[in-house]
Amino acid sequence: MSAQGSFGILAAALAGIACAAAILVPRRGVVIPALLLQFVCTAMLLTPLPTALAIAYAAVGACVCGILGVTVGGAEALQGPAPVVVPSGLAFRLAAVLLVGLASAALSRQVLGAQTGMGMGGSLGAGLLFGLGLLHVGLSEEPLRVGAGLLSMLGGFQIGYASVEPSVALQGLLIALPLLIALVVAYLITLSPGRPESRP
Amino acid sequence: MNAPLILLTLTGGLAVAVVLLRRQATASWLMASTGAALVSLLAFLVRVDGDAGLPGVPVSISGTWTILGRSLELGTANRAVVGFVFLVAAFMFAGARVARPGRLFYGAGLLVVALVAGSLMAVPFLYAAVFLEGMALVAVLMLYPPERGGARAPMRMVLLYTLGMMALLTAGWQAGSLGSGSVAPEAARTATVLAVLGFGLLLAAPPFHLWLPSAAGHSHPYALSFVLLIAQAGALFLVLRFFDAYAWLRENQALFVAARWVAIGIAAFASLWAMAQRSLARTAVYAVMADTAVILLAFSAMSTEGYQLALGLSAARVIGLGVWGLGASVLQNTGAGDTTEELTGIAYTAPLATAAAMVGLFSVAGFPITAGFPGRWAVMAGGGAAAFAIVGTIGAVSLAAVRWTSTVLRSPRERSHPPLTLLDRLFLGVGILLCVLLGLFPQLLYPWVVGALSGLTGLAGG
Repeated sequence: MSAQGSFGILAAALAGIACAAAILVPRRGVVIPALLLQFVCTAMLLTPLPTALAIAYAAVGACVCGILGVTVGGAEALQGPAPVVVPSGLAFRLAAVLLVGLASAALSRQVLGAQTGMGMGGSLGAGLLFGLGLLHVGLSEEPLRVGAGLLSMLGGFQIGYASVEPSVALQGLLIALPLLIALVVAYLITLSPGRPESRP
Repeated sequence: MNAPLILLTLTGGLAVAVVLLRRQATASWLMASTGAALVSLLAFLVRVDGDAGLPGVPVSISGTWTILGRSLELGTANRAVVGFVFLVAAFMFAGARVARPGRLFYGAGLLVVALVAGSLMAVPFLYAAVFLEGMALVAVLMLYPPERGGARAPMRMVLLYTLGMMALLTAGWQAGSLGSGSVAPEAARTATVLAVLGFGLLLAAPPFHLWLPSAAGHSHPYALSFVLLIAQAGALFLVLRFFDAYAWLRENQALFVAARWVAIGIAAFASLWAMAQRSLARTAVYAVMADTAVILLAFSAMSTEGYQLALGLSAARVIGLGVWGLGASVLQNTGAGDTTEELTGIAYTAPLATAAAMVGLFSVAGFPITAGFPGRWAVMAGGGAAAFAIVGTIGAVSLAAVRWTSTVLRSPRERSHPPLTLLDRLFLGVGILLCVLLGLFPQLLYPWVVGALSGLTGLAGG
């Protein structure tokens, strides 16, 4: 395997570990550094795109983490400790992370690798980020964690889509999207709890 | 100079202006409603790629705005729909003076309309999905303004729209490899499944409707109506463009049969849930879902008339849902509430607002002599299972509306209700009148709305 291939696998593994850490560790403080690591690793996996776009993606990631970090810092002072994620058992979440992570890694290699001709690192990174991001969204209720899961999913999608869509304009729009999502998540974090929602 | 740039710059400029003027209610209202109406007029009148861009104005205007190899285009294929979306926005902004949906409504609303217009002008049209995702993100500000506090639903909405965007972009990539001509359904299976999944997510079809009831329980009724109308119009036209562009999709008979049965399922689900609700806003949301099912039934006829009816029904919904939103907003703003208990006997203290909410609900249900009925009648004329489903939907959702009417007319309760201003009465009265007028004379609305399909040559040609 080439050095570039090994580097890709390392970046994909790091992104997956960061995503898993955000799911497993209940402290809010872990989510944002994990997200930053994911953005950096994802940027490294965006090899089909021009280098400038990959750097822009990492810069957008830094901005996203900055926005969320400042907002969470302010909101914690106002609202107190984070609510417990549901379901909250560590054993349950660990089992879910392992199952989803393994399934995503296997599926991504089969589906993405075969259809798009992506390298091992790219398909592994796309699958892990998408699968674990979806799991993070499913296990969380608070906007920060749901937003982090959504951004992971989007990162996974972008790695896969970059290998099939050459349009700089569209890739530029997709790269800017996490910034908009972060702004909306930050806005929702700052909203004080309103009228209780009754079940539909 | 090019038309898409002019339209989007004007709308963006208006959005900035109304945000700056947000403390001056009358100025913001006038600027947003007249501005959106003018942009709509511009979209209808501007002649692109000729000598005179506007009648009597000797300026050449291009229809294409190219950005990094991709473009936004305004031409015969989409001019009517772009104009229609701005017209809907102007109609809703005009009513916002009475509904008072919150300080972010005009600014965020203009951005929402600009993004939907961008989605209608995007070439290749698959990129429209990214614009609709942006629209959903801005719509969060309208549905969940700071004054109404936090909720869980907005993240659900953002998540579902993001998944929809991903599904449609992936479907577009698959479609690119299939080409636009005829392909065996088996070969196009993956692209078809992804496209249908994307459509379901953007149209908030069950089970992807989860954000809707939560939004109904939390958001201002008028903001909810606005977002539903604009977002679903954008999504519906994206569906039509998809079918127009790919012969393998519009020639897939099994897909249309499946669409008919899915629509019947959605209609049954939404009608039953509409009858079971104890919240007026949620009843309206399920009525809209049933209306979407009727639009899908019209679409599943697999004919030009069916596609035209789908567009016509989405235009009729503007009147019904807009008037419901107006009435429900006035009731909610004056402290009447939204539940069965809170609205019992309200017709005696706020008769005009209650009448508007009820007439709007009956129109969304498709009750005879309201704006929602003529389109349903035309779809029913096609006969078959679709006709029975539509009769059932009209009956069930109208029954829900009758139940609400009986609730608001139940024994009057002692309560004080602030009197309505002349402007409030005028808007509510005109809204009720419009619902009935367009029910009696559908030819005022349908011909020019269904003309929007003429630009889609793949569908208009049958």
